[in-house]
Amino acid sequence: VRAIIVRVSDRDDDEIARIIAPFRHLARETGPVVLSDEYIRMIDEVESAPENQSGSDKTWVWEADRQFRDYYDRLKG
Amino acid sequence: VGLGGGPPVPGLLRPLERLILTGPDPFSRLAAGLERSGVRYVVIGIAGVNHYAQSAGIVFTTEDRDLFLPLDPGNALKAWRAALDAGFGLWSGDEPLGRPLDEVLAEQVVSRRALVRAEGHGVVVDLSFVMAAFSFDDVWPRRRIFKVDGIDVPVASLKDIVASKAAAGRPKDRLFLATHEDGLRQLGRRRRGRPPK
Repeated sequence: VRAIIVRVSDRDDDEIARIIAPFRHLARETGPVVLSDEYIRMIDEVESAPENQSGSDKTWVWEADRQFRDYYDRLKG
Repeated sequence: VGLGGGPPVPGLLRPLERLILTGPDPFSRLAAGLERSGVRYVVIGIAGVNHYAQSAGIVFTTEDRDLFLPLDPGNALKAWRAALDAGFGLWSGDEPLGRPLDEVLAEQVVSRRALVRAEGHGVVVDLSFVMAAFSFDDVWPRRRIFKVDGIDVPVASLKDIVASKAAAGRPKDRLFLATHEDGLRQLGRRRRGRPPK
């Protein structure tokens, strides 16, 4: 279902709600997300770690990413 | 997501051509070219987040890497030329980026904040002028400059990348944020000597 078109001009809110009710489970939540205090604190900890300061060598990150891509490609055959 | 070597999160991954390595990693070649050309950019998105991973277990895999560029036509032009020199093709939407690659074209692209995609060697790099909720001048002073294969790679701060994803709030951003938060929580538990839930 790509879209549900409802002529709203001659329907009341309750009727519209009844019409779209069977399709509510198809809706995906979007819009800004409020980050939890715990998540923000964990991000601060990660950012302040010595290994995450400018000048740190991150070659291993790219290597890990490449290896995972190779692995995933092999799985796909 | 490579948490504990488990399966990837569907939706974060899309089909990739098989990467055939015949020399340096293509993204390394591009990063080296950007550095040589003095291009101003920061890595954002999931590729940016990965630089802050504390183990290979929480490195996320995504098909495309996102680079955030300032609204500067001259800088964009240098970035595109570096991508071509590194063997990438340039695309705008479904079409090759127009020719000639010059200031006129760069000004048009920048004024529209149009996405230019560099594709090649099975690697996709989005050269973007947009980062949700941030301007380039916001993120540039807070960037980290990491070393990769001896190359300086500027990466937006983790807090900025996460805040941008939270502001965008698309389904894939929500999926990422939930997975990332959980990954950090599990890592914290392991470090405190408690078994992950």
